[in-house]
Formats: sequence, structure tokens, C-alpha cells
Amino acid sequence: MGTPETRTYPLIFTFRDDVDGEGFLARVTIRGRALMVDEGDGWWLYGVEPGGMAESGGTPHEAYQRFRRAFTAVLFETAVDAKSFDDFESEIRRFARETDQEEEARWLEVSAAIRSGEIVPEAPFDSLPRKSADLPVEVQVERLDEPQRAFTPKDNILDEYALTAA
Amino acid sequence: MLDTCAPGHVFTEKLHHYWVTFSGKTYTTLPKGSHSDRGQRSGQAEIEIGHVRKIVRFLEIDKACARRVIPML
Repeated sequence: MGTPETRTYPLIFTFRDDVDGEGFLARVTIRGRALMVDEGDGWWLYGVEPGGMAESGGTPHEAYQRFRRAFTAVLFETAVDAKSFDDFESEIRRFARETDQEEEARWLEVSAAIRSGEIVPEAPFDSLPRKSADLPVEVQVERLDEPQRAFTPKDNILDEYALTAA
Repeated sequence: MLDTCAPGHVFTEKLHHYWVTFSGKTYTTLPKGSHSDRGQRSGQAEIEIGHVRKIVRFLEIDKACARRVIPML
């Protein structure tokens, strides 16, 4: 491994954020797909689904951290313009489902190459958890500020960042 | 590039980023400063070329047109 052409890794992430909006409190959980690419002058994490975002860094970890922060920022920016929870939910679902077709083709191609053994992930990707490339993208937008809403520690989840499975 | 190759696009300033909407899709993470004279003078234009490449791909902007305007794409 090691040439820039092969330093492309298909990732599956799960992020959860709580978002204050105008008159509502929402929780957004998204399992999405992204592609980490060594562009030669730095690492880029390109959104596949949601496809409308990207961030970069000097290392894969830095690119991931900036991508994660940008994701939250997009949720906050969406909340600013949302006139209601329904409005916010609708916009988040639209954002999450917008797919980058070209990036998706690359994501599927590299996932298949990893599955077949043609690409062997290098560090630090070789130590990432693995998830099936067949996992569907999921979007959950919940309203938290409801009197009947029950809260339990079982609802807590950590961010996940996994490589597609071999 | 957007004016030439993505007619009808909508460029919106948000809290942390610029959003670019074209052909029914929205790119949401263009850093503030990358579209302005200030950003270009500070060298940020080079840094943000990755965002421009991504915008062209995601918003399905004509690549030949984009390269005519920005040859380094």
C-alpha cells in the first residue's frame, strides 16, 4: 500500500447531536458513509451520504475531527432557519439523503477491493472497527422537549467511525 | 466558476460556512473566507481547492467548464 491512488478508504460513521432550535430541542442520529482520501497534499474526508460536505487535515485523524465538527455545525446552521421542529426534521432528512453519485461509485469500488483483499488497509485504518458495506444509511430525528418523553442511559451512544468490512 | 458553470446557483452565508445550492442539492461546508478577496489574498484559495473539486463532483457541475475557469482543478 502507499501510493496516493490506493490510499482511499470507505468509512461508515454514526454521529449523534442534540440541537436547540426555535422552540424545540431535537436529537439527530445519522449513520452515514464517507470516503477518506490522501490527496497528496493532505487527507480529505468526503461525504458520500450525506454528500454535501467535506473536510481536510494533515492526518486522517485531523480530517475526521474537522469533518465531525463541520457535521455539528451544519445541524446548527439548519436549526437557525427552521421555523418549527417539523421544518428542521424535513431539512435534516433532505441533507442526510443527498448522495454524491461520483463519490458513492468510488466508495463501492474501494469497499469491494477491500472485501476481495485487493486492498489491504494500512495504519491507522487497519485498526479501525469494521462494518458491513451493506449497512443502510439511517437518519433519526427525535423531538426531546416533550413532557411524555422518557429518558434512559441506554439511549447514550458514542460516535462511531468504522472501515467497511473485508 | 459558479457564475459561469452553475447558472442559477444560490450562495448563502450561514453561521460557520457558506452553502452552495445547485441542481436541487446543497454543499454545506465551504469555509467562510474562501469565496472572498480576503480569502484569496491570504492564500486560502489554494487551501480550499479541495472543497471546489468536491462541489464540482457533488453538484454535478460540468467539469470541462469548471477546468476552463480554474485550470488547477
